[in-house]
Amino acid sequence: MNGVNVYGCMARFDSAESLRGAALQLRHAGYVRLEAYSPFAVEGLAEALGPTRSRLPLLVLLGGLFGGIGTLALQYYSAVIDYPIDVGGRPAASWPAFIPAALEMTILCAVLAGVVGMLLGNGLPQLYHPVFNVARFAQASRDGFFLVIRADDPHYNDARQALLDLAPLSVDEVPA
Amino acid sequence: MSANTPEANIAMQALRQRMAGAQGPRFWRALEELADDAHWRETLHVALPQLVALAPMDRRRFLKLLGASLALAGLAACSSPPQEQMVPWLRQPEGMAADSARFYASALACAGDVCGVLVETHMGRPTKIEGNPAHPASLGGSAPALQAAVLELWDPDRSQTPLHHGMPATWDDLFAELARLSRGDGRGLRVLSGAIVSPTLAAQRDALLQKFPAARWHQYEAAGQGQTLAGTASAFGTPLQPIYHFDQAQRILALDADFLGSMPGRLAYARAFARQRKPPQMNRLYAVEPTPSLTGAMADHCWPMSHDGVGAYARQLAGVLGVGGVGDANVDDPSLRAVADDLRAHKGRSLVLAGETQPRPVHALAHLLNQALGNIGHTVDYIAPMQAAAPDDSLASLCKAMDAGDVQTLLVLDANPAYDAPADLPFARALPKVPQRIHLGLYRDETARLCDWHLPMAHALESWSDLRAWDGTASIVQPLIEPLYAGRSAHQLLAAMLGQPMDIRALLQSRWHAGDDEGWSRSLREGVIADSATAPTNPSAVAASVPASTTSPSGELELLFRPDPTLWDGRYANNGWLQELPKPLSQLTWGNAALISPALAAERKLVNGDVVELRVGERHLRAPVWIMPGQAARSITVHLGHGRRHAGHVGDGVGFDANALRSHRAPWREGDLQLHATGERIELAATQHHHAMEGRAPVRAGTLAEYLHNARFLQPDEPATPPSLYPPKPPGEYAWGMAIDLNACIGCKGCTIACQAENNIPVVGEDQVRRGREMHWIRVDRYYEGSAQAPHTHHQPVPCMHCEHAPCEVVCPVGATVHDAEGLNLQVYNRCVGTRFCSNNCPYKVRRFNFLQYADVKTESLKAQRNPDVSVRNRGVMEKCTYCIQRIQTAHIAADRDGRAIADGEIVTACQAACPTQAITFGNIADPHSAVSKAKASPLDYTLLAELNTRPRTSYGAHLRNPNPALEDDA
Amino acid sequence: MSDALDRAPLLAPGQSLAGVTDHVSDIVLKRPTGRLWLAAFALSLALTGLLATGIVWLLMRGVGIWGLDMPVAWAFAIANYVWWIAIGMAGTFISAALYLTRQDWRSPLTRYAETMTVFAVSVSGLFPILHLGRPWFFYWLAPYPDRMNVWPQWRSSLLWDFFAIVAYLIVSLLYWYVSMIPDLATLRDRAATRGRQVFYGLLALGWRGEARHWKRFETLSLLLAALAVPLVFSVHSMVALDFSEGLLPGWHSSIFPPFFVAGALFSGFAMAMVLGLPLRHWFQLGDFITPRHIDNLAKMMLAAGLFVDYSYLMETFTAFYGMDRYDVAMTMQRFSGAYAWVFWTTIGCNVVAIQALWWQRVRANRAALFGISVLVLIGMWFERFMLIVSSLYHDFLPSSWGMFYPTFWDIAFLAGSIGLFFLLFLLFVRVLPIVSMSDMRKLVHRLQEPRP
Repeated sequence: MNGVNVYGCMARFDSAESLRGAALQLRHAGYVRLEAYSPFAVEGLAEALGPTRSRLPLLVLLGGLFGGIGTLALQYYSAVIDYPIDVGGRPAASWPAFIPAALEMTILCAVLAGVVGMLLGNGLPQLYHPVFNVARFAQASRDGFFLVIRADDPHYNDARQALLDLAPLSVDEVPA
Repeated sequence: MSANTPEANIAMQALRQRMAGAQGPRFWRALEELADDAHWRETLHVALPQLVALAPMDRRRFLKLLGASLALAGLAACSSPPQEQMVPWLRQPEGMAADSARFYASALACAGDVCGVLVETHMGRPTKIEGNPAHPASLGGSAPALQAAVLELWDPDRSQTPLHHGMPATWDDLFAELARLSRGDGRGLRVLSGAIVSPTLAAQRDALLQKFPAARWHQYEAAGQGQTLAGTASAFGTPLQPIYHFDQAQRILALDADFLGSMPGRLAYARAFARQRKPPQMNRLYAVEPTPSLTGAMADHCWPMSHDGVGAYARQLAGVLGVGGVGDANVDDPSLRAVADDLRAHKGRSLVLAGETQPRPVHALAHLLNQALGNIGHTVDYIAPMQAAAPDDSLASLCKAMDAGDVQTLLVLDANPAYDAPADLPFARALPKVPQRIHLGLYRDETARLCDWHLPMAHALESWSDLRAWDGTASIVQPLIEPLYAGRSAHQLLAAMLGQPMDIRALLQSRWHAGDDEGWSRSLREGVIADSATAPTNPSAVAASVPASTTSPSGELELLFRPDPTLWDGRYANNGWLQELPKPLSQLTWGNAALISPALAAERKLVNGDVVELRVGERHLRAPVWIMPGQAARSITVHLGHGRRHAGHVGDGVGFDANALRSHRAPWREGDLQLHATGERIELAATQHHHAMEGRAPVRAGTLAEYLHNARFLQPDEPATPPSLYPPKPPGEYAWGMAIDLNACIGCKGCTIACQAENNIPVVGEDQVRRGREMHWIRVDRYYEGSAQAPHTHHQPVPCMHCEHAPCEVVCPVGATVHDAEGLNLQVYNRCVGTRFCSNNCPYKVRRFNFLQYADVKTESLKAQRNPDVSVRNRGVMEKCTYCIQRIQTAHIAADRDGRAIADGEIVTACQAACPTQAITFGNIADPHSAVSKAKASPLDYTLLAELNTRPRTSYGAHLRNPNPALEDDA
Repeated sequence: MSDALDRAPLLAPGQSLAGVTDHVSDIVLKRPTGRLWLAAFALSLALTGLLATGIVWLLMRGVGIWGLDMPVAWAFAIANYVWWIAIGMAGTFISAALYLTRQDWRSPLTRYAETMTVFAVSVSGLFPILHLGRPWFFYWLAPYPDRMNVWPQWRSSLLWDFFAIVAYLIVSLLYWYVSMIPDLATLRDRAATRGRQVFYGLLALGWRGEARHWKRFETLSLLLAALAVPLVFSVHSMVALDFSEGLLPGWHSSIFPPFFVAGALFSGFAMAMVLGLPLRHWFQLGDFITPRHIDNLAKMMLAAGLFVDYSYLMETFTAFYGMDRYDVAMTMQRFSGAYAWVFWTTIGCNVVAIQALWWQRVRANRAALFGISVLVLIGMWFERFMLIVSSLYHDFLPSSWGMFYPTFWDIAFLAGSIGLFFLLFLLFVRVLPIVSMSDMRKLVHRLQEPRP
C-alpha cells in the first residue's frame, strides 16, 4: 500500500472505554499520529492520545482584561480628557458610574476571546476532512467510537495490523 | 443662489412689476401662474442659471427655488413693514440688542379696555408683544389676550378678501355701492360697533351722523361697562368712570369686583395692589363674591355669597356705617361689623368697589360708602367716561328697528352680535330683513355669514388708529406690518363713506400733533400721548335714595354669566394659545363648564364632567359641570365666549354657548334656574387634577402676624440644603437664578402665555391636554387650603428649577441635558433621543415631551410668527424652560461688544416681563447686590423639595395673608 | 420532600446512545409538520403582523400613539422590556449555574431553556429602542468617535443597561450556538436530503468530534458557564438600576438589584415550565424530561418566588421603617390607590398562587403546574407595571399627579411581542434539536458506568 493518497487507517470500537484503552495501547506501542473520535466528550481520551495543554483560559483572561480596562480607559478619556462637561454637579471622573459598562464589556470580550480561541484551536471551520470519506464515520456523531492512525506516523506500515489486534468492530483505510 | 447678475436684476424688475400689488395669497397665486408661464421661466433661467441645471423641474421645486431667489433678490414680500412711517420705541428693553429685534410702541384694545404695548419685530415680522412700561394701563405688564394678539395677526383663518354673497369681490365694488348709499340723509342706515375707545373713530362716528342725520349708530359689548357707568350715573346723576388708587388703599372691600382679573385697568391695579403687600407693610383685602375670581383668591377674607347676597351685604354695611339712610345700623353679624370697623378705622385709606356684574344699586352703594369713608379723591377718582352709549342706541333698539323693517343698510363694524347677542334679542333672526348687510371683521364669523358683504378688517398690528386707556391716556396705534391680506381698518371704511382722505396716519397726526412732527414722533416712540389722561372730576354724591336691589328667595338656584378669563366674549375663540391656557382658577382648557359649588355637587351627586341641563324659563342648554371650591352654594357660573359656530378651525364648537340662556335686561344673572342631571359625562381637559398639598407644603404660607412675630417662622430648623458628596463648583462670573414671590402672584397666567409666545411653544389641542401632554414651560399650580366652601387659594408658577444637582442630567444616556458654566440646566434638542428618563426623574415635572409632531411646520403664516432666536422642536424630543437663554445670550453679546459686564436687570425673562405684579425676579445670584440675590435673602425665601438636595436655582417667597385679628373665622 | 422522586431516575431505563440521538434528531429530520404546530404558527404570525403594523405606525406618528403622558412617561413598553429580559435570565441560569454545580438533571433542559433566553432577549431588545422618542438615533448610546466630540453620558443607568443588553444578547447567542455545534454535526450526518446536509453542514463548521476538540470544547463550556452566571446577575441588576438610579419614591431603593434578579429567575422558571410541559407532551420527551426534572423546576420556581415575596415585604417594611413621607404615600397608593387592583393582582399571582407548590401532589400535577406558571408570568408583568406606574403617577408635587390609560397600541405591542417570541420558538422546534444530544449521550454514558 502506498501512503501517498492515504490519510490514515481508521478502526471503530464499541465503547468509549475500549476506544480509550486502544488509544493507550497504541501510544505504548509507539504510535504518535493518533486521532480519536467520539460522539461525546470522553474523559481522559485526549490525554491518552498524547500530552495536551490548553491556552484557552489565558486567552479568556486577556480578553476580559482588554474589555474591562479598555472600557474604563475610554470612559475616562471621553468624560475627563476629551469633552469634560458638568452633569448634575457630578465629578468628571465618576468612577463608580464607570464600573457597570466596564463590567459588561469585560465579560463580553472574555467570551468572544474564548469562542474564537476554541474555533481557531480546533481549526474550525473546516468543512472538508478526509475522515468524512469513510461512510461509517457518520456514526461518530451518534454512537460510533473511532481511532485513526495517520499515514504520516513512522510506524504506519503495520498500523492496520496493530488496529486489528485491538479487536475493533471494523477497520477502514481513510483515503486522503 | 446669487441673484446679483444684471440679467437677474432685469428679471427681478420684471417680476416686481408682475407681482405689484399682489399680497398674501394673491402673491403666491401669482407665483404659481409664473411657474406655468414658459416664457417667464425662460427669463428666469437667464437670470438664475442655477435653475436651469435643475430642469426638468416640477412645480413644487420650481416654486421653492423661485421663492428663495426672490427673497434673495430682496423682492418686497408680503411681510415688509411700512418702514418710512414707523418710529421704533425710544428705549430698547434691556437685553435686547437693536439688531436682533426692533420694538415699536402701540396699543391694543379689548372690549373698551385699552393697554399700551411694545411689539417686538424680527425683520419686519411682529413676533412678540410686551407691555409698555411707559403706559399707565400696562406699566410693563401684559395680560394673556395682549400676548396672544400676535398669534391672531398670523392666524391663517383670518378672512383675506372682501366677499360679496360669498364670492370674492374688491373694495372698489363695495365703495361703488356705498357711493350710491351716500346720496340722501341716511334714512335706514344703521351702524353697529363695539365700544368705541378710539377718539378718531368717535369723531368719524359723529361726522357720519352729521352727514347722515337720519342714520343711527349702535354700540354693543357682550361684556362691557354698562352697569359700572349706570351705577355712577345713579349715584352721581351723571355716568362717570371710577379710577381706583390701590397704592393709597390700606383696606379694600371688593363687592364681586374682580379688579385683578377683568376690570379695565386691571394690570395697573394689580401692580399697585401687589406693591401694598410687601411685608411688613400689607394692605387687607375683603372680598364677597358668588363665584371665585382672581381677586377673591388673593383676599385675606373671602366670603362666598349669592349674587343678591353681595347686594344685601353692601346694604347692611352701608347701614352699619350709616350711609345714605339705607339698611339699619344694628346688624348683629360680627364679621360684617369687624369689616365695618376696619374700614371706618381707615377713612381715606380704604376702598369699596363693586364689580361690573353687580346691579346698579350695589355700584351706587359702593360709591356712597367711599364718599362716607372719605375715599373719594384719595383712593378713588372719577373721570368722564370715554364712551357713553345712550340706552336707546343699544342693540335692543337696533333689533326692534330691524324687526320692524326700518333698517335699509346695516354696517357691522368688528362686532359679532349674531353670536354674542343675548338669547332674548332676535338679532340673527331679524338680520335677513335688512336689505343691505355689510360686515367688517377679522374673521368670517357668525355675523359675517349672515351679511351679503363681508370685508376683511386690518388687524390692530396692521393699521393706524388711536386709543384711550381706562384713565383717558391716549396712544397712537401704529402698523407694524403692511396688511397681510386685503384688509382695511374701520377708519378707512368710514373715511371712504365720509369722502375723507384714506390716509389715516395724516388724520391722526392732524388730530393729535397738527404740524408738530417732533411731538408726533415722540408720541409714536413713547406709545403714550403726553398729558392726555383725563383729569378727575370728583362729584359730590347726589343720590339720596338707592334703588332697592331685589332679593331672590333663598334656596333657588341662580345662573351667573361671566366673560371667559381668556376668550372674553368669544372674540379670541380661534386663538389656540388662549384656548389652551388653563383658566386661572379652574385650570380648565378648551371649553367651558357650569361651575357649581361642592355643596350643590354633593346634594345633586354630581362629579366633574357630568352633563346637566340648565333651564331658565323656556331657554335651556346642556353643559358639563365643574366643582369649584369657593363657589356660592346656590350659584352656578357659566362663561361666555365658547360654543362658537364659525370662529375658525381652532375655535369652532369648543364648549357651549352660554348666550343661549342670557337676556339683555339682566345680562349677568338669571334667577329661577332649573338644573337636571342628564346622566351623560364628558372628560374636561384640565391641566391639574389634584388640588390639596397633601402636607408636602409646596407652597409655604402663613400670616403677617406670624411674620412680624418671627420673620423666619417658615424656615425649617435644620439647614435647608443637605450636605453633598460632590465637590462644590468653582464660582463663575455669572450664576443665573430666579425668585418668585408667591405673595405677589395673582395667578393670572400672563407668564405662561408670554413664555409660549417667546419660546415657540406649540399648541397641542384638547385631546392631548386631556392626556396630560400640554407643553407650557411655566405652569401656574393652584392649591386649596381649608374648607371647600371658602378655601384659601395659593398660586404657584413653576418653571424649570435649574437644579445645581440636576437629577434629570444624571440619567440622560446621551448627555442631551447638561449644565453650563453659568448654572443653566440646558436641553440640547438635537442630541435628545427621547428616553424621557429625565422627566421621570424630575421631581418638579417641569419637562415637556413632544409625544407627537406638535409644532406646526406647514402653515406659512405661523412660521412667520415664530421667534427666530428659539429653535422649533419636533416630535420625539424633550423640552423645558431655559430661563430664556436666547435673551441671556443676546445680553452676553451686547455686553461683550461694549466690553462690560452684564448689568443687573439687563436680562428680563419673558415670564418676568409679562408679570403685572413683578412677582418674578431674575438675575445673577453670584452678585450679592443683584435684585434676585436680595429677593433670595428674604426670610420668606424657600426652595421646592429642598430635602431632595437638588439645589434649585429657582426659589419662592412664601405666601402671606393679612387676616383681620377680629375675625377668627379663618384667620 | 419526597424520597421517591430523589431516587427516581434522571433518565428512563433502557436509553442508549443511538436511542437518544435518533429520538431527538428524528423530531427535526423525520417528524411531519403537525396541524397543531401550523395553527400555533398561524396565530403567532398574525400577532407578529400586528406588532409590525404597530412599529410602522409608531415610526410614522411617534410614541404618542401609546397612552404615555406627563407624569407617566414610561409604562407598557418598559414593563414589556423588563418582563421579557427577565424571562431570558432563567435559560442561561439553568444551563450555566447548574452546569457549574454539576447538576446532572440540567442536561435535557438546557437547549430549549437557552433558546428561550436568546429569543426573549431579542424580543425585549426591541422595546428600549422603539420606546425612544427618536428610535432611529438609538445608536447614539454607543461610544464612537464623532466629529462633534459627543460621547455617551456614562453616569446614566440607561447607558449601563444598553451595554448590558448588547453584551447579554451576544453572549447568550454564542453560548447557545457553540453548545449546539456537536448536535448540528449529528443532524448533518443523519440528514437525508442534500439541502439539509448542506444547511446543517455549514452550521456545524465541520465538527467531527475529535478528542482534542472535545477537550477544548469542554474547557470553553466551563469558562462560558463561569462567565455567564455573573453576567446574568449583572444584567438584571442593570435593569433594576434603570429604576433605582431615579429618585422617585418606590424606585430609589437599594433592594432593587437582588429583587429584580430573583424576579427574573422566577418568571424565567415559569416560562421554562410553560414551554417545557407542552414540548415534553408533544415530542414524547417523557423519557428525558422526567417527573423529577419538572419537580426540580417547580421547586426552583417556588424558591425564587419566595425571595420575590420577601422583597415585597421588605419594600413595604422599609417604607414605613424609614418613614419617608413620599415612600409611605407611594406605598399607601399601591395598596389603595387608583392602581391598587394591579398591586393585588400581583400579590395574588406571585405570592398566593405559588404557595400551592409546597405540596408534592401539586408539583406532580402538570395541569396545575402549567396554570400556576402562567399566573406567575401574568403576575410578574403586572409587578413591573405596578413598579413603574405607581411611582410615576403620584410623585412629589400633587399638582403634577396624573393617571395613565393604555391605548390600543399599548396592548398591541404586548400581544405582538408574545406573538414574535412564539413564532421564533415554533421555528426553532422545527429546525433545531430541542434537547442537547451530546449532553444526553454524555448522561447516558455516565449513568451506564458502574457507580463506584
